[in-house]
Amino acid sequence: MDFSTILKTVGILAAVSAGLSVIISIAESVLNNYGECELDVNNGKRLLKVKGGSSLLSLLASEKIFIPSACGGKATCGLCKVAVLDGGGPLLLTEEPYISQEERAQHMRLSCQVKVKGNMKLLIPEDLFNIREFVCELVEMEDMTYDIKRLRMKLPPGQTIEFKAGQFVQFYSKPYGKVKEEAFRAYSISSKASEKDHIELLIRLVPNGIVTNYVHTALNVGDAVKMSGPYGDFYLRGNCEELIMIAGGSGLAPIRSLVYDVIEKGLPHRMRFFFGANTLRDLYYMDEFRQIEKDYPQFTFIPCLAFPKPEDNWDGVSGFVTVALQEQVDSAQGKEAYLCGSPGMLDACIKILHDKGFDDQAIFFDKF
Amino acid sequence: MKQNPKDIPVQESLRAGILARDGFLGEDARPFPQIIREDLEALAALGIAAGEVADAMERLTKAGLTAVGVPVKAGDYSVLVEEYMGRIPCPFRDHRAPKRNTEATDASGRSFAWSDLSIHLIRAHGFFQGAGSPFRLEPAALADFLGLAKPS
Amino acid sequence: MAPNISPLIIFIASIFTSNMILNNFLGMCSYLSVSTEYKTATGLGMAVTLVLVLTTAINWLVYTFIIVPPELYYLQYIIFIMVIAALVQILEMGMDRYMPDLHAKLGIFLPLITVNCAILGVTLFMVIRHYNFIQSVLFSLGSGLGWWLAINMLAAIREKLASAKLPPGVKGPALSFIITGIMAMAFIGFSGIFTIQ
Repeated sequence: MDFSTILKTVGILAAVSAGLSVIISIAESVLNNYGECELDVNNGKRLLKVKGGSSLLSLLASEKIFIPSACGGKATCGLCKVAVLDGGGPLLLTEEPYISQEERAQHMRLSCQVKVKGNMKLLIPEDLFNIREFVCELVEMEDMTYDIKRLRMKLPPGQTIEFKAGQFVQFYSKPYGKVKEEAFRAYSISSKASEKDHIELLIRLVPNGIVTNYVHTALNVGDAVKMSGPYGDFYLRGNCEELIMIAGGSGLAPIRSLVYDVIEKGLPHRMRFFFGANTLRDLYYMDEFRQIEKDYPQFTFIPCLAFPKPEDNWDGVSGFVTVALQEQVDSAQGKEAYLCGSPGMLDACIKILHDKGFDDQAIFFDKF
Repeated sequence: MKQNPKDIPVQESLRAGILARDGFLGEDARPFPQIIREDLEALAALGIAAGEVADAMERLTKAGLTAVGVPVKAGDYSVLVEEYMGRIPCPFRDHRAPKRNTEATDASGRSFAWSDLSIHLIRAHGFFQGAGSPFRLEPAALADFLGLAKPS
Repeated sequence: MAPNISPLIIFIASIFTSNMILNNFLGMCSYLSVSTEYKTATGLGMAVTLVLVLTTAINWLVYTFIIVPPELYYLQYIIFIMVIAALVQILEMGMDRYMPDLHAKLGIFLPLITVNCAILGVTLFMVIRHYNFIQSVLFSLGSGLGWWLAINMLAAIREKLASAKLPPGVKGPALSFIITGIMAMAFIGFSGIFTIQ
């Protein structure tokens, strides 16, 4: 093999590689360049000009329209549904499990899976326009029980959050340990709606949970925390005389916000709050709610301890919250029910409410 | 060997930090269809179907649900069930399970822990999780613990 | 020089007597891993056929006008592979843009096809046998369809076997190899028709 052959070989290979790379780059700039696409949102209410090529969810977020998502765009939560009237292409395999036949007729799509390739016409729920993203400072972190932490976050100066008591925020965790990516989950706001420059959340540690382990092991006071919100259909309707509120574990969060809301606005509704816990160490905010009960006769606090031990000296209701509910609520007349807790607790309580005559329009709970 | 492209998103979801902090694979380097195949073979050698194992686990969980958060006596077992808000999606994208963890201990002190998602993974997919995962349920040992092993 | 065989005969022979999988055992990786489900196997078969026809046609042009004149035969493997990889990239982008329906069905298979040795194999057969352009195109079309046929057959059999009681250790790749071997023996029965290799 002589020198000129080696030179020729290297030269030709370099030329061919370069030529192919150029062809691929040209192809990419022509084919992958979807150019500027116009998104017509809600029949012209907002016209967005975005650069095509990314998912609808991320492009809307870049235009400060935040569609709820609990799974970070991985097509596992089904919350990011948006009606795509035009320009969305065919329904993808990844979307099929989440879009029912009726929804397909309404052109519902998962915005985390739809890629923006051209002009599109969209319909999104009106209240999503109020959602903002906040980067807050964690100013307090307190252990309320052995597995629930209270987080208090301060909004940046000048920013406020307008939310209805009972709504939730999306809370973002940062990479830590084996978790290489940002993740986010929904948590109900436990602070008062009147307090517009702070947000408080109650976060219970879930074994093997990504965000709850971040909060309980990697997050420190002083850290920056990203959140977006407010989201959710769980808020006060109030077409009744009495509110029956039921919660367990960290489900107390939105109920606390609702109770303070009714009191601060001077609304006339009576409130009965059934708080279910299994053992004494699961109870918290006891003093605070007992104080509210003293100060505001319209509010009654009914903590239920399922398994009291003699040394607990428990003088409240013993047994499951379902037992207290069954005994103390006589009918559905003039009442609305607000629930927040684990799926098992929700199912059991809703069954009792149905038996008592509550129909679904008078029962409210977060479905995530 | 190459992986079926349809399996790639599932394999992704099983890794640590995607759906669960520690993931479902532990230290196992085998692709998940192989893990499933080998575990199901181990069970088939004992003459037990994955569905039977899932049914037995579900019976114990149901018994524990009568008193969430406190140990419950169910036959020879002591069962403790804890519940949390929200649901966790299955890596195979076909189910969203409540966040419910069960810990069962038998008379001899042996104990196994599983979640509602584990029950679904075993029943619908024959997936007992990867070797080295803290939530791995060794099929033969689990079947024996549940009293399913048939005398040979 | 191009052999004096009718392109139509090449087309039929490449499906039955010169089947890429069952006679030449090329493209086994993706064949074995994607044949668990009939629907996905069909998708992959379609994608392989499409890529085969396009790459063989382009590689024929590359061979005739870029490799032969300066006699760069020793570089042909590398150049063919680079062309195949580039082509699949561009094909994927083009499909995503202009044929989103097709991209939704076949798109996930395209990265898998780049490294499918049947693709390079068909190109090299075309070179060794000195096929002209028409012969090459029909050869690649037939090879693709033959590959598609083989993977569909295996997928159909595996779907039926999924619920069968099998001896331990046989389920999975082991059984697929055995089935493929039996199918290959069956296809030997076609060899009396005519042969191109």
